[in-house]
Amino acid sequence: MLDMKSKVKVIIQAIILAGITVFLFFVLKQMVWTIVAGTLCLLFIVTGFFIPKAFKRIEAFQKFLAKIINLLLTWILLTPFYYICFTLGRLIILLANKDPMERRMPPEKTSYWETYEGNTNPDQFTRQF
Amino acid sequence: MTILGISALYHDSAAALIKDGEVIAAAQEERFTRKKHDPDFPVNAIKYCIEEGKIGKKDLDAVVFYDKPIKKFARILTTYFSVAPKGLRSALMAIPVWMKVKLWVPLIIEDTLEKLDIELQGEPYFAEHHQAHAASAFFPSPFEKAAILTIDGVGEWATSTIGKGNGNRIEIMRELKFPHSLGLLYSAFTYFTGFRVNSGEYKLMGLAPYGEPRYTELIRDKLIDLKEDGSFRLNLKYFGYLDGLTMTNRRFNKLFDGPPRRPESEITQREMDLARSIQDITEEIVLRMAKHAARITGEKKLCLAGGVALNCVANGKLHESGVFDDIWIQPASGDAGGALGAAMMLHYHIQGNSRKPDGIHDKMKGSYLGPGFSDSGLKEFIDRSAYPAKKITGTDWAGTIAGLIDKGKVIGLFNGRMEFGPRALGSRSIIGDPRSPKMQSIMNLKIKFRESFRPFAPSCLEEDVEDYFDFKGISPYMLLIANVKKDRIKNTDPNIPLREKINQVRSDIPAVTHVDYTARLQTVSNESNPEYHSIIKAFKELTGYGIIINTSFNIRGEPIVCTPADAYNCFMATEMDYLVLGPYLLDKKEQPDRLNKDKWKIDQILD
Ligand SMILES: [Fe+2]
Repeated sequence: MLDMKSKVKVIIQAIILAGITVFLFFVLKQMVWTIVAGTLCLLFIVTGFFIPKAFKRIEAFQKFLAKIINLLLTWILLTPFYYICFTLGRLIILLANKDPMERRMPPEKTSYWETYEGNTNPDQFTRQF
Repeated sequence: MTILGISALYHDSAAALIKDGEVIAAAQEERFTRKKHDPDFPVNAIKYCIEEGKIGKKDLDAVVFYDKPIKKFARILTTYFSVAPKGLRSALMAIPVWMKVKLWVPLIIEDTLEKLDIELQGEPYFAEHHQAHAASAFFPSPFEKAAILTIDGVGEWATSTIGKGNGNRIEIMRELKFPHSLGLLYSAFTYFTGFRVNSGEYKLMGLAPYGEPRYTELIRDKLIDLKEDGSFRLNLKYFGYLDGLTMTNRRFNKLFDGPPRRPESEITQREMDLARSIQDITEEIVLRMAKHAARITGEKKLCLAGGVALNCVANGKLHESGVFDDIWIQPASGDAGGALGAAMMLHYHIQGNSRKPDGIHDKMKGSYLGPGFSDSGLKEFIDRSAYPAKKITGTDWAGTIAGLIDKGKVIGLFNGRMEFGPRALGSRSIIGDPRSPKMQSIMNLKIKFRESFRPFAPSCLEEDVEDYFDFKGISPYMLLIANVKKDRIKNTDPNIPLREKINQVRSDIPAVTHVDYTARLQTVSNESNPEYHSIIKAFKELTGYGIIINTSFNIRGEPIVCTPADAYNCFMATEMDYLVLGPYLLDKKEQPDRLNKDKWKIDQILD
């Protein structure tokens, strides 16, 4: 048996799906999608109240799907951003003849140790940078 | 003043609690969640510290995080700026995690403390990563003044630093910056030889003595420009960690005769030679850095921390070199120790509280800083499941355990508070007879389920160490190697295959003598762990040997056990003969369901 909290969740999800079904049928007049939404609504009610094991499976699948969609959306947004922003940034760095990764190994250099840049003043400890 | 230090969100998350400078508790999150090297925010470790310190709602004065998240994120973005349009895949993995979690550390701290019903007084503090390492190395050390060397993969930008400590202050003087990192170089070879980065480094070190240094010159020529003072730059053309998801790239493969070894496939001579070569280079760099640190600080003592300071072979060579009169290494040298360092940095350096080291004893309490269980708690655990157990008290306790070791039995020892840091030091250990020629393969294959080439470490009476090893001083945290004394060594044929080499009887303590006649040594004193000391002493009284095998109480891929339930499960899942739970002795033969292998199976994650 599902606990009370889960039952409330089932009811809310079923109401939302029922709303969508009504909207699809009466407003958009989309018969196929109405059947899909209606079936899902029914599935939620039946599994939620009578086959809790199956409902938990559906819930896990929902979560997995949400994660994938979230990841894909992030990637879809981030990919063009990366190519535009970071490639442009790289060009600027190259034009300025700078290399933040200090790849060069000048033969005349006798040491790569640098003077420590961080500081240990008390106010610095309240900052995240 | 009560301070909580936290290290998290990279690997080996941990929490540490100090009260007026005294270390009250410290533990890694992995021990509670049973997820090795758990990088998640250490909610359970914090909860443990709060409970151990009996911290009330308004008792926590400060929280310090072990690095500066925004500075670290800036370094990651700078890296992408310097490799784009390459690096997309890495960015797609990293940036969302930073946006969703890693940039919100103050909120996560607040949320965690709220759930534990703790009201933090003021805002959290943020130490720099290498400051935290340096503080973890110097402040708990026995030294009033010392040079400090920190070497790891990377923090914000620094990958190695040299500094000095004096009283309650530390000053960091020099740094090497990302991407030029000894830790990452070692990890690149760890990856290439088929082991897991951030956990397999120990295996690479263990494999090194089986190989020849035939790649050393190639590494010097192509991969690294090493200067006399230990500073270096890496030739990034050969590495993948800037713009890819792997540590090395195709050029690296070409240089080292083919692609990386597939994990779990057979280890060939190439991997052994690579291990030896990179180990030799690492030792040389560490030694040069230490010499430079001695030069610029003028100090006679050295404190070490950072992941590379867990390389006990390099540490041993440094100890032997005599560059410094004395060395102290933080037992939790990896990022877990950053939690303690960050808390100590605030207490001493920032708040200026006085520090009075005695020159002999450190402040780590033997590193026994984790959860402990009372005798009544252990009894309750045993009674709950009606496990057959015998209570042994007084001197019988050590004598009985020593007698079982002498009979060739393998014993899980669960006694006292859990160790902080990656080494088991007699509280959560599996112990056995070092004189047995078969013990190394028995323990590796039947108890630990790990690669047979991996050596075991000895726990030796501190007062007897010179009888077994060419070693002067102490090594309480198993962070130094030492040569087994010449008169104990038996000559062996060096030209035989690896599998046979493992089973050679190399000395009269073969189970703890590695192929190069060294051992990763733990010296045990009556002061730091009297009960463990008493077991070894009783073993000496029985056999004449004041030395036993000590390996961590876990199986491969599993974190060291934390609770009696973890210990019992590990005991039942392996072919261990006896389990010691404080004063209780459990005999495998008497345990119910001992033949039900499925019941006790531990999911093995390959490490
Ligand atoms: Fe580190």
